[in-house]
Amino acid sequence: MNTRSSLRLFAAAATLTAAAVAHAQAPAAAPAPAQPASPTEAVEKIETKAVYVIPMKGEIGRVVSATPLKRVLDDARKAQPDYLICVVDFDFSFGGRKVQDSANATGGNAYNQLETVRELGVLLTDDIRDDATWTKKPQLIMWVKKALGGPAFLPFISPTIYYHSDALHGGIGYLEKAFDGRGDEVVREKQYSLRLGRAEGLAIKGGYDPRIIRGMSRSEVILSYDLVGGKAVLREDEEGLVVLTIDGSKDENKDTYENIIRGKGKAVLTLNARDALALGVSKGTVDTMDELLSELGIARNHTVVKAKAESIFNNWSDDVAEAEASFARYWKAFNETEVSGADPAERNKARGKKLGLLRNITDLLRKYKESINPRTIQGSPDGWENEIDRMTAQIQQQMRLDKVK
Amino acid sequence: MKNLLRLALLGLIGSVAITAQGAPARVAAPAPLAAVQPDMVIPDPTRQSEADERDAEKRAAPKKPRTPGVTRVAILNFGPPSDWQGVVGSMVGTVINAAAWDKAVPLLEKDNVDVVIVRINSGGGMLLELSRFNDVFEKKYKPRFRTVGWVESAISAAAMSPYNLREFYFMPEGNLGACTGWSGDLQAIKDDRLSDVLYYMEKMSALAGRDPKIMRAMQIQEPLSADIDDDGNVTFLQSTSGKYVINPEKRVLTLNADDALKIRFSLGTAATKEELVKVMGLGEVEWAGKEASEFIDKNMRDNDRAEKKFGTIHQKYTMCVAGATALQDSRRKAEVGVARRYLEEMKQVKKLNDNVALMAGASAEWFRTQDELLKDLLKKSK
Repeated sequence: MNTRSSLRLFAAAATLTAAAVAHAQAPAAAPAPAQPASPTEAVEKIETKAVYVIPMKGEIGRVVSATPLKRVLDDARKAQPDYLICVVDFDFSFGGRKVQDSANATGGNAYNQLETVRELGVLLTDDIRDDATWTKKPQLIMWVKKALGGPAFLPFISPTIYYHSDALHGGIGYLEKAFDGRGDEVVREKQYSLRLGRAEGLAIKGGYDPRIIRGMSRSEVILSYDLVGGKAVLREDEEGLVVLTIDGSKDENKDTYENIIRGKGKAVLTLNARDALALGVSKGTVDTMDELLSELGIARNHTVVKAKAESIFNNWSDDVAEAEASFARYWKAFNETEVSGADPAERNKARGKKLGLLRNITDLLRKYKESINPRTIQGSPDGWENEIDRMTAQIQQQMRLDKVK
Repeated sequence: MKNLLRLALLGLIGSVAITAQGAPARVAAPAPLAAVQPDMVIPDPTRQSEADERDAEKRAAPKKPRTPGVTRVAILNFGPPSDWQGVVGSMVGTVINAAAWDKAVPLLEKDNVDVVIVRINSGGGMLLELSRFNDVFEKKYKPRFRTVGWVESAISAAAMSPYNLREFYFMPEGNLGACTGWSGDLQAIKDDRLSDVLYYMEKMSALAGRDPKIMRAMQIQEPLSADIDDDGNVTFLQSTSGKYVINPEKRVLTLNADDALKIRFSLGTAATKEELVKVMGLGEVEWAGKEASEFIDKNMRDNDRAEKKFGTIHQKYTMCVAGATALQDSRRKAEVGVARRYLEEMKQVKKLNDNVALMAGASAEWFRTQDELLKDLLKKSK
C-alpha cells in the first residue's frame, strides 16, 4: 500500500473514531453523520506508478556512454518516475567488432570496458541519490537479456535484477590471459587483482556475492552451490549440488568447443536465468515488459513514460559515426591543402585554412572522444589532440618565419 | 634505505620519459630530456621535527568559532571522486600531490576542523610520493585531526600513501590493494629495491597498528588468511591455513569492502558521508573545511592539465629552438622569444608540481641548461 492511500484510510478511520466518541458523549445532540470513505473507494484510488524504460543496445561506450545517458536521465527526471527500467541487451562487441556469444576468452577486453560501466553506474545510482532535483528516487531495475563482455558488470549495480529466459550474463572470462607473455607474473597478477577488486566492488554495491564476479573472470575459480532452505549457498569447491565452474586452468578441464558453443562450458561462469534465480542474483524470469511490470506488482497501476531514451542513444550513435567520417574528411582536406603562392600572404592564407581544419578536428574529438573508436581514427582521441596541438604550433611557426627576412 | 631513493621515479603504475623528437636533422636540438633521479631523502615519519612545529605555528590563523558539542568534519579528495566522470586523472605524485595536502593543513586549522576524511579514489602512481604523503599524514594530520581513510578505490600507491592512517572505512564498492611496484613493460621491482619497499611498508603498517602480513600480500604473491575468535580478535597467517582465506596462493591481494570488514581492516562500510559519520560514531556534525577541500580539488585539476600538456609544450619548445638555431637573421630573436615563453610555461608547471616535470625528465639542471642555450642563441643572433 502506498503512502497516500494509507493516509486516506487513516483519515477515514480517525473520522469514524471521532464520530463514535462524540456520539457516546452527547447522545442527545445527534451530530451529522460522518461520511467515511469506503474501503472500495480507497482501493480504486491506488496511485499509478510511472515507469521510464531505458533500452540499452549496441556497443557499450559507443551507443550507451556517459553523455547520452546524462541526457536520458535529464529526460527521465522531468517525469520523476517511480521505476527506471534498464533493458540490458547489448552487443557483445569491442571496438566495433562483434564476437560470438559463446566467446569467453575476452577478460582483458571486457575489463577495458569496466571504467565505462563504472561511470554509467555512478550516473544511475549515486548521482540520482545525491541530486535533490530527483524529488522521488526511482527504483532501478535491470532486466538482463544479453550482458556479455563489459556490459556484464552493469546489472550488478542494482539490487533488483530480472532475467529473460534466454539471458546470457558473463563473457568476461580468462582475465588471467590478459597481458600474456608480457613482463613479470607478479605484476600481471597485480593487474588482474586491481581489476577484479573494482569489479567485485560493483557486485557488493548491488548486494551480490563478489565470488560470482571471480567465477566469471578467472578460469581457476571453482564454484558450486547447495540449496539450503530453498536458498542457494555458494561454495568454492565442486561438492555442491550444482557445479557452476571447475578449475579450467587444468588441461583436463578445458572446455571443448562443442560445449562452449552450446553454452555448457564450465571453465568460467556465464549466468543463465536458472542459475541466476537460484543464486538470488535474479528476482525472477520474465520474457515481456508486461510480465516484468506484473512481477513488480504494478501491472494494473502503471504508466509508461513516453521516453526519448531510444532516440537520444540513436542520435548520439549517429553523431559519433558522422564525427568519425568528418574526421577523415577534414584530414583529407588538410592533406590536400597545398601551401604555395608567390608571397607570404598567399601562403599564409593556405596555412590559415589548415589551422581551421585542425580546429574542426579538435572540436570533434573533444565532443565525441568518449565514444569514438580509436581504431577508426587510428589513434586515441587524447593522443590526436596533443598531436594537433603540436602541428598547430608548427604551422604558426611557419607563418612567423615566412613573414619577414 | 638508500636503495629506496633509486625507486623514487619508478611509478607504481609505470613511468614515461619524454625524449626530444621532431627536431630537423640539421640543427642542434636542445638537450633531450632524460629521466633523472632526485637527491631525495626518505623522511622518517615517526619523528616530528621542530621545523614542522614552527612552520605550523607560523601559518596558524584565527580559528573559526565552533558550536559546542558539534564535531567539525572535512572531506578532502585523494583523487577525483567517480562523479567527476574521469575527466581528471588520478595519478599519485602528478595529479595527487603531498605538497598540496601539506598546504591544506592551515586552512583546516583555520576552520577549526576536528576530523579529516581522506576520500580515496585513485589507481596509483609514483613510488616517489609515498613517503611524502606518509610523512604529511603522520606529522601534520594525525597530531591535529582525527584523520580517517574512506575508500572508493585505493590501488597501489593510493593504498600505500595513506596506509599509516589508523582508521579505514570502505564504500560498498570500495577496494584497496594491488601494491606491487613495477616499471616499464610490467617489470617488477626486485632484489634490494623490493626489500626496501617491503620493509618501508612494514613500518607504515606499524604506524597504523596493522599486521604487516596484510600489506605484504598486497605487494608480492604471498597468501593471507585469518582466524577470528569469539571476541572478534583477528589473527593473520601468511598462508592459506586460516579459516578465512583472503588471498589465495600466488595472487596479489586487493581487498573488497566485505573482506576488509570481515578482517577488521575496515571499521565500517558507508555509501554516503552521512552514513560514514554515523559508522564513525560521531554525533552531531558540521561539514567544514570548504576552503581546504576546494584547494585540493583545484590543485588536482591544475596538475592534471599540466600533466597532459607538458609533453606537448616541450615539443613546441624544441621546435622553436630548432628554428632559432637554423636561422641567422632577425627572426632568430623572435623564435628565441617564443621558445622562452614555452620554457616559462614548463617552469610554471614545475613550480606547480615538480613531479610532472620530473616524470618527463625535466630536472632543475635541464632547465638551467635551457636558459643558457637560449642566452647563447640570442648572443649569436645578428
